[in-house]
Amino acid sequence: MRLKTVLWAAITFAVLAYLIAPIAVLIYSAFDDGKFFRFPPRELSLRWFREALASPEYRSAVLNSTILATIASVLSVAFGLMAALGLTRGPLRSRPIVEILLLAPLTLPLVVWAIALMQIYARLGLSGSVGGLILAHTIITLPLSVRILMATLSNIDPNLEDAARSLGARPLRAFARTTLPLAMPGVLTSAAFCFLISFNDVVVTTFIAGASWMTFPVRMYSQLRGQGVDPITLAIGAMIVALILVIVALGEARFKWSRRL
Amino acid sequence: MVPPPMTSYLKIDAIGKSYGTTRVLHDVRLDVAPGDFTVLLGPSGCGKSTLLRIIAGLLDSDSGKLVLQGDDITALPAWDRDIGLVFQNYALFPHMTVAENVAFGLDMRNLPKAEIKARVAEALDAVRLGDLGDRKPAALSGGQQQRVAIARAIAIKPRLLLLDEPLSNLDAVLRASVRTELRDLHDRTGITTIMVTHDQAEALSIADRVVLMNEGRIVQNDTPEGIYREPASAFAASFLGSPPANLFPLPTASAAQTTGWTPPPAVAGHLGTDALLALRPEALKLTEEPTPHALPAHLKRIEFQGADRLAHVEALGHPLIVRLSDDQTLTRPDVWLTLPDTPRVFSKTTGALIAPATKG
Amino acid sequence: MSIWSQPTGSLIVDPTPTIKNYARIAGDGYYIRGLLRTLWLSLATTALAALLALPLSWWIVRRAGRFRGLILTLVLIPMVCGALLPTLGLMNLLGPLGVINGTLKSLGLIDRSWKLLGNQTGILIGLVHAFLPLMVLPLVSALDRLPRDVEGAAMSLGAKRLQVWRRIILPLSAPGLIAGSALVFCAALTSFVTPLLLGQGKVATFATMAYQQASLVLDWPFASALAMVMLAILALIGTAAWGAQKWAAET
Ligand SMILES: Nc1ncnc2c1ncn2[C@@H]1O[C@H](COP(=O)(O)OP(=O)(O)O)[C@@H](O)[C@H]1O
Ligand SMILES: [Mg+2]
Repeated sequence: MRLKTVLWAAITFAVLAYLIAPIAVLIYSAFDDGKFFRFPPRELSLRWFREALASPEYRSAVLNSTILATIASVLSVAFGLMAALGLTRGPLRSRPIVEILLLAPLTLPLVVWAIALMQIYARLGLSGSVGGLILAHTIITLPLSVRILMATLSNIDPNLEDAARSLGARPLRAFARTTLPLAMPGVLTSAAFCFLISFNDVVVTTFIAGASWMTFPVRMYSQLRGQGVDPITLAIGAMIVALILVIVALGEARFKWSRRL
Repeated sequence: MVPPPMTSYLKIDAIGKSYGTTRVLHDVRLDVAPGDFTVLLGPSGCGKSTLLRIIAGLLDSDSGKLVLQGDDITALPAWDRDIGLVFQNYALFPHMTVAENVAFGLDMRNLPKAEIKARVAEALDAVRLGDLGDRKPAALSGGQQQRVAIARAIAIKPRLLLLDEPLSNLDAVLRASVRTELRDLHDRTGITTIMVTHDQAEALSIADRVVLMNEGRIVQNDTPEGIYREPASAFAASFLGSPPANLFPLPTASAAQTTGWTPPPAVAGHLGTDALLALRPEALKLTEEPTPHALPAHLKRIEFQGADRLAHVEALGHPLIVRLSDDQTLTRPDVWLTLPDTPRVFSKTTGALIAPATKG
Repeated sequence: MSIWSQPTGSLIVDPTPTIKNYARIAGDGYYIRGLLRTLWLSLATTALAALLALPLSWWIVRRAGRFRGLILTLVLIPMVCGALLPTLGLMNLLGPLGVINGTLKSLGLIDRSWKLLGNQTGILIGLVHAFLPLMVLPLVSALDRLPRDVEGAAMSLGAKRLQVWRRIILPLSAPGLIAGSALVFCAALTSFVTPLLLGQGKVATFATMAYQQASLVLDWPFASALAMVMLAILALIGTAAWGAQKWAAET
């Protein structure tokens, strides 16, 4: 019995270690003082973190990513909320559509999206435009936000809004006072995930933006494909990962994110 | 029959509603007198909730008109109607405290803070929940939640209070006491009230008027006593009462003769026609010796119910239930069934009343 | 788009419908081999993910207790960090100068680096890492739904531990396993960054081929045809998973 318990724990921790290892190595390697990472490292320092914070190029790349992801996730949640309301409350509700929409987004074949969008954009003359990029990011994040918001809304009693109305609230106010506050955990969850998808995206962005809007992942990707990764990239990546981990830990503690996906 | 109320507080005029091709309400007409406690009674799915939501303004009717206190409110949106609605599942706002729930409607009316506070306290006191204002609904029992829902609806001093199956989510013990409380509350506040239920005992015990619905139509509108004693259709006879009236199809004259039955004169004329007798269990008598016009029957078993005993008998091949008088003992299975002299006769095919002819 | 064609060396698309692009995929051994390789990698990823996810999910549901939130956060890592950052970490982990080879060498266990990048091994390690959450999350939610005392009940009826797993836990977690497998397979099939970077351009998969056609060769109709093939496989997997769910629900 004891041995079995230990064995279970061992397997579990091995799998967890595998999940964490790449991120841990990423963060660790950012402390390597050398220009190219090697293990064991010659010397550990904060050098690249200092340079990262001082570099205007990188600052603008991270800023670009942040702006893009913020706008895209706000749009995605706004449209996602409308779509989810229509699909769960409105005349559009229908079981099969709902089921497909609930399953599809997790597999989200980004490459397929990217190839399709790239051609559509070329025809519409949107290629390389920032507006087009925002639109593309909104489109690729939309299915997930619809999924999360639909799951959220389907757990909220539609009678609540009716009750508010019968008590004298106009429709918009009834929504704002009942459904919306109750859907807030879902709204924040989907905003966070859309932000992360958009912020981290390299596939769709490289396909349709070219070099016009240099986001941090695109910069990192081109280094990975080319001469190798700049240690400053490692340092920024490490900081981003650390930030994401904190956010996700909070999200999981507060909103049970893993259950909403 | 009691004449319909002269002064109409709420007039429901030929309201019709369909979902797709299914008609759920067929030109429903109803007048509700001021201060009345009206119960809409009918089997599940007959359109009671639909009618209630239309009155509340949460659902549009396809046709017809609603007049409340002389104003045509058909086109008035729910939020301007001042009609309180208590939902079957209560629909309490889970993110607000009890007091905030009750204050919601007052908030929407932009009343001054002090007045809101006073009226919330008043409404909570009315349902005897004065000290639970700070709790969240989830921390309350089912019965308490239901009272919060009522307090929330009456806090706005509604012109009309609508209750959709308010007792159906409570356990049997609670149901009886809440029933009395609901009636008390109505009598204290004087709010004209319409309650929906599918439970006939509930309807009979609480209502000033019982409005019986079936398949999207109002089939009878009467006082509890009136609807119980003088059902206007076979459906009404078989829906009310516990157990409900026995529906007994009349045999042909020759079949009656072979069993040795001479029906009472009021019944004899209907032998062999498309006719049913509606026979309340307490209106039937069982004897061991034949009486004039008695029907030979076979006693199958006696069910003990505490205050009552119900005899299950079979006559002319049909099962019937008879409520026995307290002191009666029956020892033989072969018994005689005495019918009332002028039972209500309904058409077997349409369920309509054939005899006695309605007054007026 | 995929039914149009583009003459070699030209950037002008000829809008006459044609099945030329599909014929090219079917006729060219390079693409068929690529497709088979991609299918194999996706299948292997799915199997490995299931193998790792089953004990982990069971442990999360039954043993993790108050660490559940923390562990689920760790499980979410590959999902929320995007494709690139974990891949970068993996390159530093698996590379010839990376953590694994560095450790083994300094311990004197090997003298030539293991080749863990630029081949299918590296890609598999990356794919399993990237998509493990897609297997764990549905499994956890399926296992969550199964009442705590089923194992006890089964054992009280005389079932041995292994039998409990085979007869009770596996069938009851089947919906989660099916959903997770479909998700992982589809994700692995269309994954692009991981095979490109961990394969170091030496292992072509369908997605990287499509990328090549779209971004480098600029033959968009052909890229579309490759994308359509992937989409068709996705649809097939989706339908199969849906059917399997129904079947599992019935038996
Ligand atoms: N939104 C809807 N769409 C279609 N049919 C409905 C809808 N709501 C109710 N119905 C149908 O209308 C009929 C009346 O419903 P309802 O008023 O809820 O009945 P009751 O409250 O008397 O049980 C039922 O047959 C029900 O199936
Ligand atoms: Mg109802």
